[in-house]
Amino acid sequence: MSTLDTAGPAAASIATLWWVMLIGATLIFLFVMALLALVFIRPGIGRGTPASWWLVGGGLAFPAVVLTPLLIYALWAGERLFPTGDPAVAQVDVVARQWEWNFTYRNAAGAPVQSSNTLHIQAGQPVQLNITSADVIHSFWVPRLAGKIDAIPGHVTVLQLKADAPGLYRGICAEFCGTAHLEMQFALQAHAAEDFNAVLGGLPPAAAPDVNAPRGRP
Amino acid sequence: MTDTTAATDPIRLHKQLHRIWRTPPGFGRLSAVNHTIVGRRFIITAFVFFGIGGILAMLIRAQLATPRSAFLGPEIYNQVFTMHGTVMMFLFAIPLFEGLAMYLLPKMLGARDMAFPRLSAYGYWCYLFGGSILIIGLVLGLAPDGGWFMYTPLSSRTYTPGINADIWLIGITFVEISALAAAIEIIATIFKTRAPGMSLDKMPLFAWYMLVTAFMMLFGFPPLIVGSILLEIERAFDLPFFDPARGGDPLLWQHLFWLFGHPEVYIIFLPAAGVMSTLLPVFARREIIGYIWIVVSIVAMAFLSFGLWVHHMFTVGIPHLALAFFSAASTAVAFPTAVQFFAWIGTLATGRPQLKLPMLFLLGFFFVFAMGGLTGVMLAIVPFNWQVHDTHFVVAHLHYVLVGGFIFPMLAAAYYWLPHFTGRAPRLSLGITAFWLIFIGFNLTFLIMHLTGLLGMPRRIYTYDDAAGWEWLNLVSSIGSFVMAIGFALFTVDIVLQVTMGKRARRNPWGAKTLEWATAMPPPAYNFASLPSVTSRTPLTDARGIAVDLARGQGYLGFVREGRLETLGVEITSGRLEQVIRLPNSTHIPLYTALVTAVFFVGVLLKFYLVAVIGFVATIAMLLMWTRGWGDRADRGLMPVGQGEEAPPHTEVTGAPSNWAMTLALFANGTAYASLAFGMLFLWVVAPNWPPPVLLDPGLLASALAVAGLAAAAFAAMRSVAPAVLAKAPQRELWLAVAAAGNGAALAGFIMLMMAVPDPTRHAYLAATFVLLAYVALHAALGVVFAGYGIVRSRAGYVSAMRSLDLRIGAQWHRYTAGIGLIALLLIHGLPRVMGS
Amino acid sequence: MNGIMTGSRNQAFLFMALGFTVWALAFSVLYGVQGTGCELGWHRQPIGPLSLLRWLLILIWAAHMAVLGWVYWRCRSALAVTAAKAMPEAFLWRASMALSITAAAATVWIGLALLVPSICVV
Ligand code: HEM
Ligand SMILES: [Cu+2]
Ligand SMILES: [Cu+2]
Repeated sequence: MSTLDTAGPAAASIATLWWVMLIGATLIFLFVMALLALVFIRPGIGRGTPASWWLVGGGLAFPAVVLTPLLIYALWAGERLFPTGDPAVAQVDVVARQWEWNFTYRNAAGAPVQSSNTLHIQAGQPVQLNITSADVIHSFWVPRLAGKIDAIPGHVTVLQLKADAPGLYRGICAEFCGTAHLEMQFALQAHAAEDFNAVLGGLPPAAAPDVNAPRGRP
Repeated sequence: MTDTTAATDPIRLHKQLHRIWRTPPGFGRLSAVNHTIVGRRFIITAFVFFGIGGILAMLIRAQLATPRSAFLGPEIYNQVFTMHGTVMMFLFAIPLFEGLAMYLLPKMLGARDMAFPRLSAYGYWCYLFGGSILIIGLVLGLAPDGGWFMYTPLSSRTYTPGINADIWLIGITFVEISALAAAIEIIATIFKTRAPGMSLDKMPLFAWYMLVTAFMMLFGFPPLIVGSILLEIERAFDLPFFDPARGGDPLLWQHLFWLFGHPEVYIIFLPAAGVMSTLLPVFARREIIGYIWIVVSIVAMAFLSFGLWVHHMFTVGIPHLALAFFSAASTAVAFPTAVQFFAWIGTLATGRPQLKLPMLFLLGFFFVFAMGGLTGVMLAIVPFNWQVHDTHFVVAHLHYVLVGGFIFPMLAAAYYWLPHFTGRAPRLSLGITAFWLIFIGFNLTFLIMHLTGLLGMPRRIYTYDDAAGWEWLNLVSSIGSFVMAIGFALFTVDIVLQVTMGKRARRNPWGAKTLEWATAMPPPAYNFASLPSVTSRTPLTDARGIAVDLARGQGYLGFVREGRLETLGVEITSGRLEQVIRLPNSTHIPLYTALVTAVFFVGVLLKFYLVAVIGFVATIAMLLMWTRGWGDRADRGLMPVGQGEEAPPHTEVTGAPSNWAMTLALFANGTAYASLAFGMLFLWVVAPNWPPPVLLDPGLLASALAVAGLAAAAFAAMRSVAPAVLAKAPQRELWLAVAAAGNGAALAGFIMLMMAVPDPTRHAYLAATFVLLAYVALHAALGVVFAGYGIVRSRAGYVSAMRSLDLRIGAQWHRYTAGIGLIALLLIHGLPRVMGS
Repeated sequence: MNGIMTGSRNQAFLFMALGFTVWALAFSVLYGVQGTGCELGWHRQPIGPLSLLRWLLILIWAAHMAVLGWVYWRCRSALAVTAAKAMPEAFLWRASMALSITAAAATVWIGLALLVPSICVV
């Protein structure tokens, strides 16, 4: 379940971001604490420094130097995590409800099939999830693969993710959704390319339009 | 009669003042309105709620200590964490600083009381009663269980059918009345009741912090109140605002909640930062550096904090460009925070710091809050937020900010001002041990909780299995929390010991330079036997003997005039003497008003709507009663205030505090109205299932009637305060009658429009239109009452060309009602035309 | 709303809030127009190199920057007058001027977002 034990590009990019920020934050924290310690160990140490040094240097320049690159880097990294809208990417419709997950796919023949609480994807291929909810707000989260996105009744939210290798990845509902919030866990099974069509072929056909939810807006 | 020659005998002066300012003993205490007493009550009650919230926290940590714990089931656990968050945010943090501000501000500003003592008392009772509703719910096992931000549709009737969610909505809205009351009162107090000479640039920084905080409350709370009312209406009457099947949208709730919720966090932080900026220079033994920088930072921070709310909604599927606005704004608050941080460190570095007990807690602040600030910047980074949002990483972050940015400064404040509260100094100090237990326990609990979250543990789950590798992390957190709890227990014991057995404290024990230390300790109800005049930011250093001089009555108002309770009012910016403000004595009426307000809220809660209506009407009636027999029946003109100076009474100037109170109340009201209008537009643009099945064609006749009525009322109100009209009783009463009639006509028009709305439960459009009209109708109805009240006051002789305060307050109301009424008509006529096509 | 509020005596005080009010306005209008534009498909109408929606956002941003420039200039001249007479208002004008600069910086800062390519969800 760890966000740091990554198994997909999105999670990996975010984990990198985290390590960068952790190192930066630690250095800043130690610097400020050291300054504070110094002030008590050597009283009067700053008597020579003019007030503006503290205010301009510490209050303005310091955060500017740290935050400008961070913000630009984050916007750049975030941009690449957004769904591309590429029609070639496989799509899965996800409907969350208290307290289960329903996934609707198109199999090789183009017929809709579905599964509950286990999401099948093909390893190494990106997949776009169109997510909504039939009742309250839930949140779709597979920590090792990507960030989370909420499932909101009346809206369709989109998440694109990819698992680098075949395997079983745990997913969980991250938005508090009532008594059985905790039980709303699911599995994401990434299959090797050669098995994938067989897996989809084995799924039951989807019951007619799944979403009783109203027309969704993105 | 007026004894303006300073009473040379301090004891006699004290006796005279004491007689009129004191609160009666026994049951008479219930009539207390004095800021020292009411402030103390707020503080003590808040700490009691802190105890309750703390016990709930211990229950959480006990449950999470081990995997698959059977201690609390999900039903109970959900109530426990919801109530923990709710109690800590609404019943502990906000009321605690309100109490501190109430207690301190008049003393720091050199006044005898807050501007509206009865409002303080009323606010306190609202807080107590509203909080009690929540605690009674908890005891009965009916506590809210949807999390402290109560997301819809989970909190809607379909998914939470019981009374639990109603308890939250009603209880919190009741408590918010006290927050709004406090906001208005704090602003009016800081604006007007300062010592002469204290221009804004000489004001203690604590007052700047509180001024900005109070403005934030004024604009921050209304969206939540509106959201709560809409949700309660949806739950009780099925008007769909948040139901996507009928054109509502759960995201509307999130916007309204966080539009309040994010500023709320800064509303909690700023007063604590104010404590920092007050205490730190004392322990650094020099003036703070960068006074103006700090003032600018607070204002910047206040505004920026209103532009961050969507960072709580980074995962709801908003486009990246929009997220980028909020991400950028969220990182931008780091700047004003850093300015303050380095102003404090710079003050220590250039001063001669002393490591006394309160300073130790301030250092705790630096350590813990710095870390919380850094994780806050991380959370502002969109992709990272997607991973850790709604995990224990966020739980860790928010506690670093709230405990670091609020609890540590408040504990410092407790030790710092306790001698002032009680007149006692500690005999033996358990405080250092308490500090280390709290500090170590806190970091033990929450530092590793960041990791727990990164390892994938969502928040708000009642248990976990041992597959995820979270066991030892949770166990350490739980152990840490119990260490912290022992620390808080020790702190409590220490405080109780000091209050009960402390030795007599000497005056100004810390060598502070702000005026509150010029009062006796503990302070008398009237604070100062005579009021100071201020010439710098450090009034206690300018005149060493100032405390004694004031006690001798050598300042302003060192006498009692006709048994009236008086303090001075100044011009806002310059601090020049402007007016003599008369304040009310102890009275039970705030308590009674709060009781009938409670009847209203409990009526709504239990769905006895007739009772609720009676409670509402009774509340309005009671509020009008506050002014009975209050005011002057003759013009007074300039009155001597001592030091050879003179000033008119507040009833005869334009800038009276109550005039400001109405202006400020209308700001808050306007924010609520804007939230409502925003809701309607938001639904129209964003919500599913639009356009609606029917578009209204509002009746022209009814609309014309409403417009004519509103215009007549606003015009008549303007005429009624024109100097020529004011001078003649029949004329002004005639215009007031026209204002009443105008409002009555508008009311009729709006009711007709409301009746023309077909079944508002069908669609959010109809529901929103209905509520918008009802909002204005209510204002018009109150307009009739206010105009009528003006006539009564005029008849009773309280109005003259000079004493026009009552009518000017009424005129503000009428003008405002006309404004929002016209906007409502524009919206309901215009929107279908613009958007319908 | 209140007669004394507009009186020149407390103008400096009003200006303290003005700079950031413009910022808040920029912020809300940008966010509102962005959401509305996505709903109405303005991001799919190209005008030259950029979409209609992005042009609109840049224009809104620039207009607010211009207003902030005016606020700054107004504070500066008022500061010069009041400081010369050593009036207590000078402090407020100085703070207002600093706040107008801060607000402009904050507007530039959130303007960074306009560089983000994905303007609407797919
Ligand atoms: C005194 C020690 C405290 C401890 C041990 C503690 C512990 C916790 C824990 C473990 C949670 C997470 C519950 C969950 O997600 O399952 C939590 C939630 C929360 N705490 Fe605390 N807390 C403490 C003090 C405070 C204080 C002082 C405040 C605010 C001033 C506060 C505000 C909150 C809020 C707002 C939540 C979120 C509740 C929700 O998810 O609805 N806590 N606390
Ligand atoms: Cu769920
Ligand atoms: Cu926030």
